[in-house]
Amino acid sequence: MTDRIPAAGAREALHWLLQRRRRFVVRGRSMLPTLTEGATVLVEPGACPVLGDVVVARHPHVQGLTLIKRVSAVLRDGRTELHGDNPTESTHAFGAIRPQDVIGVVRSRLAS
Amino acid sequence: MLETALAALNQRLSKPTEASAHCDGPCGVYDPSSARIAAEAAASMTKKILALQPPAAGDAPAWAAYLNTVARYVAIKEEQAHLAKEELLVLWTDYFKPQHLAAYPDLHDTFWQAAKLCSSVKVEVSAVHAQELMDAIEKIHGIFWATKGRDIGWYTAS
Repeated sequence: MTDRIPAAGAREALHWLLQRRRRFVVRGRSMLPTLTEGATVLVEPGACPVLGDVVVARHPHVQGLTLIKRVSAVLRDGRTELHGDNPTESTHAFGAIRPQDVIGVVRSRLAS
Repeated sequence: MLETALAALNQRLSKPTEASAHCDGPCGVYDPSSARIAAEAAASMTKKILALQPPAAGDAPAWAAYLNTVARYVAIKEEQAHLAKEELLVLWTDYFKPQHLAAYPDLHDTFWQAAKLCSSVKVEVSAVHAQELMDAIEKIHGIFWATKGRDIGWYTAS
């Protein structure tokens, strides 16, 4: 459940070039050790997340807040439960995320 | 090579959108009750261990049952005392902010002492330290709800 995020290779670079990827920068430490603070990731917008994927999503209650978390469960109705990888920094759940609030799935990271 | 080129490109482009991997921003749900429940469980196990009477010498089945009970009580006490510490540390480091410290200058010391009491309760079989931990959490309960401007009375499950 804590698979690492691969560094972007030629395939990811091509997707990015063709505007099939969006860049996000990670703030906070709840995704350690997978993603460090300040890491830049390439996200596939609109991709359907599966268990274990790291996703970028809109927070269900805090407007304007974008989250980066790992999918810890996919519910029957398509909603996903998200958690950080760092247990000491991400102990509190915030409820299931609706599919329309999932912005995309993290596919790779860029070296800093 | 490609990796370096992509990193350089990333640096030259505009700043990407921020995605938060914070914990406190997303949920904001904190309550010292979680630490209190764990501390209460550890205190309860401490009392139960202290109240145990060893069986008569030579009664092997009774000794097996006795040792089993001791092991279980100790395991639960260890676990719950550690959980109480974790809950306190999350509250301390994630919820409390510098402005709270200004209003409660002994905040750090209160949490530090409470965390140390969790260790004592975990390591020892001390009813005194178990009670001191409960008192410390009661104090934190008071500070916590005062920062929220709410009057929530202290209560325990047992």
